[in-house]
Amino acid sequence: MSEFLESIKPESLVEQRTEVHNQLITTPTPTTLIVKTNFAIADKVLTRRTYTVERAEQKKNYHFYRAQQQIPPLKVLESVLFLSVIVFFSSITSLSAAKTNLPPSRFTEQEIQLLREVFLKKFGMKEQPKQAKPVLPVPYYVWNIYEKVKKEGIEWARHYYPYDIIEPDKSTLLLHYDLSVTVRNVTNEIVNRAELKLKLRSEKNRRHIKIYEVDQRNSEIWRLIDAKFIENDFRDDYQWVEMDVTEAIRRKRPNMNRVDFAVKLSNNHLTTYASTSYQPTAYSIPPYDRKQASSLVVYGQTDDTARVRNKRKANTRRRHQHKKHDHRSADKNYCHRTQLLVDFNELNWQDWILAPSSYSAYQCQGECPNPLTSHFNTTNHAIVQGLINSVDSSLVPAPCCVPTEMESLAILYIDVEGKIVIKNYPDMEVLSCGCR
Amino acid sequence: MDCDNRSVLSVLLIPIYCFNVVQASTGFYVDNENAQSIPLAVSRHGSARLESKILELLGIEYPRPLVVGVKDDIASRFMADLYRNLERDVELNPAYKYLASGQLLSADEKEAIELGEADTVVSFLPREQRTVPDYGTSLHFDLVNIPIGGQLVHAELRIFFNGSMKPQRVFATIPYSRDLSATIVESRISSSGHFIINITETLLRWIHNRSILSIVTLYAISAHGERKLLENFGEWRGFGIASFVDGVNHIHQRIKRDVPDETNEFDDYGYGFSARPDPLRHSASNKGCRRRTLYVDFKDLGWQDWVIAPDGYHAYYCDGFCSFPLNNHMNATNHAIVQTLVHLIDPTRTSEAKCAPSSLRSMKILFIDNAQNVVLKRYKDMQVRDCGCQ
Repeated sequence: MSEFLESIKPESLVEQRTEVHNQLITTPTPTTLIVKTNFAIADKVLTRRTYTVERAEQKKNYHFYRAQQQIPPLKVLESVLFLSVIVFFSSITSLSAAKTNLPPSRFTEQEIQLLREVFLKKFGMKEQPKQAKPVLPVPYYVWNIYEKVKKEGIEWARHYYPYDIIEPDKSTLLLHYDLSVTVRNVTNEIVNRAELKLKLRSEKNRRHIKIYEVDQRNSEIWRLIDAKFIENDFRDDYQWVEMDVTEAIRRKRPNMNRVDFAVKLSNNHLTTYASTSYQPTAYSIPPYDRKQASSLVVYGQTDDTARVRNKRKANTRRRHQHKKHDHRSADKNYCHRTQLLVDFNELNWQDWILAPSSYSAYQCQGECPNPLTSHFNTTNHAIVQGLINSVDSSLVPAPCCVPTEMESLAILYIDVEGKIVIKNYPDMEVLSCGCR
Repeated sequence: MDCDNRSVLSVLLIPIYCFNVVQASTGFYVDNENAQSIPLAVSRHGSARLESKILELLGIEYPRPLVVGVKDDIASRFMADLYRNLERDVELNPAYKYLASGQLLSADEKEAIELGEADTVVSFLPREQRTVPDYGTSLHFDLVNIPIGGQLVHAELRIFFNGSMKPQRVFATIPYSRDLSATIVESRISSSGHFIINITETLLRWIHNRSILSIVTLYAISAHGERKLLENFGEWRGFGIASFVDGVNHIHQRIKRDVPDETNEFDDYGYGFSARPDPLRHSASNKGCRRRTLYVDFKDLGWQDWVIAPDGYHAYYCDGFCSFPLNNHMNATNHAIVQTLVHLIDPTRTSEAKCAPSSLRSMKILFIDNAQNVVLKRYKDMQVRDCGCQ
């Protein structure tokens, strides 16, 4: 009886705090002695497993850290020199010619710095994002998000770890996220979707999980954002749960660069990997494995990308045309598409630009004949300009070979304080050329 | 030196000199070093060749139409109103200012005849008009004189009464087969007071089957149900409007069929690709990639008697350097920036980005063709709206 009263008491306290809390937590029923014994045994087993897994993860982090420190400077320099050989080649023939006839061009430090500045400016940054050390490893699902951004034409996606985790009681977890990134214009941004990714220990029983947004002005006010039942999953000793928090990210808040969530599990034990057995304090720095178990991912776009999106759709439809077209044009020295590889590794940015390490930008080369034919993907104006150029080429230039269709490129990089950003940049790769 | 001699000789020679300057103009204007529009120095033969080529691009037969004014005021004024509805900034040729009077076209009619999307709008008049008492007035159309090109979108017959008295209902009897069996169509009244009869299917039938008589017989029905001639309501006029969409881009087809020029005089001019514009032509403030003037004056070409609007063709062109760093008003794409960077690092691998149109605009011309029809034609991507490094 006294044990039953003790279990009720914390829930009552939580109930009083949540003034707008509408859903009731089911009061646990008294259990028989046999059931109690089974539960205790299961708890011990889970505890032991948790300890083992946590230990293994700590070992992984330690190895990662040591691996970073162990790279000798000579090897780094050797890697850079090797990469410079294949940087910026126009075609295979040119590459062979460069190898045999001319020594490959080597960048001076000044040139590399110039390249860095221009690329950073194009990314919308003034300087390279500063990283907290040690850098948290990129979770496996970020690569799935990267592929998703590339395929579906999402403009940007951002991945956040919580900067603070508070555990007021066994069934509640408070998560605080800092949404600030180097490049962000809140007024122009549209959030399409936001989700919490929570790593929970697997359990036999069915559980109910609820996500609340904590009001910034009054932390006693919690708004229910998402709730769902978690089914059993015996494949692993943990499972990932995704909760939709789009409504909270879109809502106007006093501080738009911050968002706070409360996580509640139906049973008495909030057995996420973020929970610990020690007494928590409000300002304690959480360990990294707890951060990795509670991630926030936000997908969005800027307000002026409607046209870019339409353009991208058109490009996708015309890919076959482009291939056929390119083949015919390539027979002569006329306007056509050729190779142009851009390598980010040459800029020594492999520590913060994770993907792609290089990309084929392609380029348009070749002459525009006079008169122009439809093979060269031209316009009426180019035909007129070509006519006048044929009369006097010194006053009006001939039409020139330029890209007519381009594709975007998705870049995955680590922003300040280990935040992960995936952004689609338009018009980075040439799909087809024409005389314009 | 020549100017000094002229001024010393006599003041009377100056008008002759001005006259020569006017005569030297060939209708093409470009920017000079100070961004002023000056006539393009083209020889007489070169100008004639350019004129024939541009007419060919516009799909108009060469030599140019020989026209002495418009044949019918009502149809021409309607077409002029339509043109000014679509091209708001452009004025009519001074010789045809008299067409810009009255409002023959209301806003909702623009959608009705789908003229916004059409590439060609043709007005055509009946070749013969004959009145049969107690039956009606027959309009006989000649398909040979209608410039049918592309896919027919819409066609209608418009009837306009000059007087204040107008019939209640207007009907048309149109034969649809060789054996004189006919269908009867009632007209609708537009907001501007025109009686409109949809003849889209009729015109299609006439085009595909030339044996059908292209005759439309018009009559009116009074409030009492009596059949009446249109002449009972005073002076009236009927004309046809047809709109077409180019199924295939006809310009490219014509270019393919172009016979190579046999005269060798053109070999003196620089054929082929101009790798880079002459740097002497550009002053310091004029170097960057931007839009420049290229203007074809229709009056200088002697086209003012058959081109109703516009006065000339503002083609523009793009020229200038795309050198590093590409600032914001050079309108560069991300790829152009990347390519310029690669060129800066290693000029042997790639060239700089090139200055080319990044946005183009279509142009509409209202003119009188060889069959004396007033035609409105739209040409895609004729004018440069904006330039950029690409």
